Amino acid sequence: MDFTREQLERYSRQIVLPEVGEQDQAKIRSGRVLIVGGGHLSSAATMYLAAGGVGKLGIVDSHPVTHRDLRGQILHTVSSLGENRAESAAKMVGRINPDISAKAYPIQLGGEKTADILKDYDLVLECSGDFHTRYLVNDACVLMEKPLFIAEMAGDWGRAMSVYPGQGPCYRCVFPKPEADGIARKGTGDANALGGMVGLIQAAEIFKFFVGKGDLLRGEILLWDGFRMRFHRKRVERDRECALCGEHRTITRLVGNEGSYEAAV
Amino acid sequence: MSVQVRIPSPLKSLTGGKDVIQSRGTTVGEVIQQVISSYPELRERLCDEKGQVRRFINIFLNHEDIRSMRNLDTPVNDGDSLSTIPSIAGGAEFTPDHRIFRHGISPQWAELKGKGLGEGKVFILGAGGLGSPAALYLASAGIGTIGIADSDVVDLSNLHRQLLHFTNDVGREKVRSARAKLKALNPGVKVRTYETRVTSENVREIIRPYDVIIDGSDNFPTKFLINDACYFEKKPLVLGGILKFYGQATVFHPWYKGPCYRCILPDPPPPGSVPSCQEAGVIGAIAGIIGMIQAFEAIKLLSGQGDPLIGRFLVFDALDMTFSEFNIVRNENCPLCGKDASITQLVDYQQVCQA
Repeated sequence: MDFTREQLERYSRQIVLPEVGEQDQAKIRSGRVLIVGGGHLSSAATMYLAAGGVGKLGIVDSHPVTHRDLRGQILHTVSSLGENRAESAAKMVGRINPDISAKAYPIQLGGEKTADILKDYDLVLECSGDFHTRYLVNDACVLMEKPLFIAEMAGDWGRAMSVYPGQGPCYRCVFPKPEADGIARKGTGDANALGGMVGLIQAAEIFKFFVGKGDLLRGEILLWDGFRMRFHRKRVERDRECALCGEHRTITRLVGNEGSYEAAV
Repeated sequence: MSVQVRIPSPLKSLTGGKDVIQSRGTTVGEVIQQVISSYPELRERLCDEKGQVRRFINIFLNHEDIRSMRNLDTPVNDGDSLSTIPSIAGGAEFTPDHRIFRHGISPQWAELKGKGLGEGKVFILGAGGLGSPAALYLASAGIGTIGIADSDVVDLSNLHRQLLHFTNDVGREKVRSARAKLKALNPGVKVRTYETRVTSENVREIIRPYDVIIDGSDNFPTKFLINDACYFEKKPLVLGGILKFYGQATVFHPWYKGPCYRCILPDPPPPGSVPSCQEAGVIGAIAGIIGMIQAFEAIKLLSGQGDPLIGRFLVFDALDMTFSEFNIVRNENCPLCGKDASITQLVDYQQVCQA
């Protein structure tokens, strides 16, 4: 496993866990996570994935860091104002943990480009806060059979849903159209100072996924009501009529610059 | 009657990894006896040498303490669930003597007339696994003043979970490292640092200027010290604890309503009852989740909005990604805030051992 003495020390409080030995830390190290969105949904998740030793992190974001972003986006600092958020995030990853390979994609995801990027990663953490992108990433992950961890936030409500292609519902099975659901439509809504909570819950899920321990959120969505500080879980089912993963599929490839959502409806 | 017995993750190693055990009986006592006969290793944790359930073991039937009902004679029904909740400090684990009563009317929270965030002052005890996310999020949310106390320097083994500190901070005082990160995130935030151990000598003076106190400590003596100090200074305390994949959070504000820490755990666990003081490890993201919950609770207390975790004990188990809530109310025999309180000044407890 050839961890250096420094690396063993860095991860010692994780390796000491009965559920996470040195072998599991090696699995975390070989993990490759594509993070879509470099804003408040992904801020804490990105930092903890880096600190915990996930070997390769890709961050996709086409926007620059603004003053407004600094509220709730602990991934960026005042010195990164004006810089692309993906690039700023990749630098922060380097400061937290030099062992991690961080790659910035300062672009808007769309069409075939999505597949090109995704092929280099094991799974995706979707934190874009934008429903076009969310449907596009869902489609790409199902077509390419990559697990997908979605974090969404609207107002004080957050939602986590994971998609294991072929093993349960995809995002479209549950939310066939963004109009059907407030969170799906509004995405992040107002920049909530603590929007990173749901992303961080998904980061914990990703660690569990890599080490293969615990029960993952499968076939269930987790809802978080921040102002009441209550968490609910709800069962969700696969839809046999799903346009993407049902019996009569109409979405078979990724198209369009704004994601495949328009193409599908 | 068939009853589900829920095992929290710190005790799962004693049940072959099972988190739910199906058991049978007509009373809580019978159900527990059957569990112990199937899992003998649990016996030592749950019972003393005489076979009696330990004083420090708390058992909840459907989220209510059995002691508020008929204790071990409480009858059970088909489909009921029994839980045990260990209290955790960070390295140690312990099962406290909870006093759970039925929760009263939900608080009219606006009565506290919270300050705006920009005028708010929050004190964070510890710049570690819980203090890091709490401080970062409070700074980014625009809290006016953050006070942070820690006497340690940054160690390489801190970095996987303490995100106030980066690789090139190893060896630096934690409070200095913290100040730099908070200022980089929000130059407008006032950061006051206390590079000292918080003791009975200085704690009341330190917390006096602040509106809300966040506990980011990792040991029982400090948790009791900050609880008592907050009671004497009439400050709300946002408690947090993490161990392995497991976390807890609640808010104590007995001058307003609800219990204090001593209402649910009268004294620190006696030496020897705590399995180990070695830091037991934790997944960094779990610390992040609890610290972030603490930051959000502080914001709710300051802004006077939302429904804070007063009288609500939140238990988070990341292994199965469950969040459970238990009702906790004031114990009228509490040695600190009860009617015949015996504790009238701060007590220094011996560290059971050094972390």
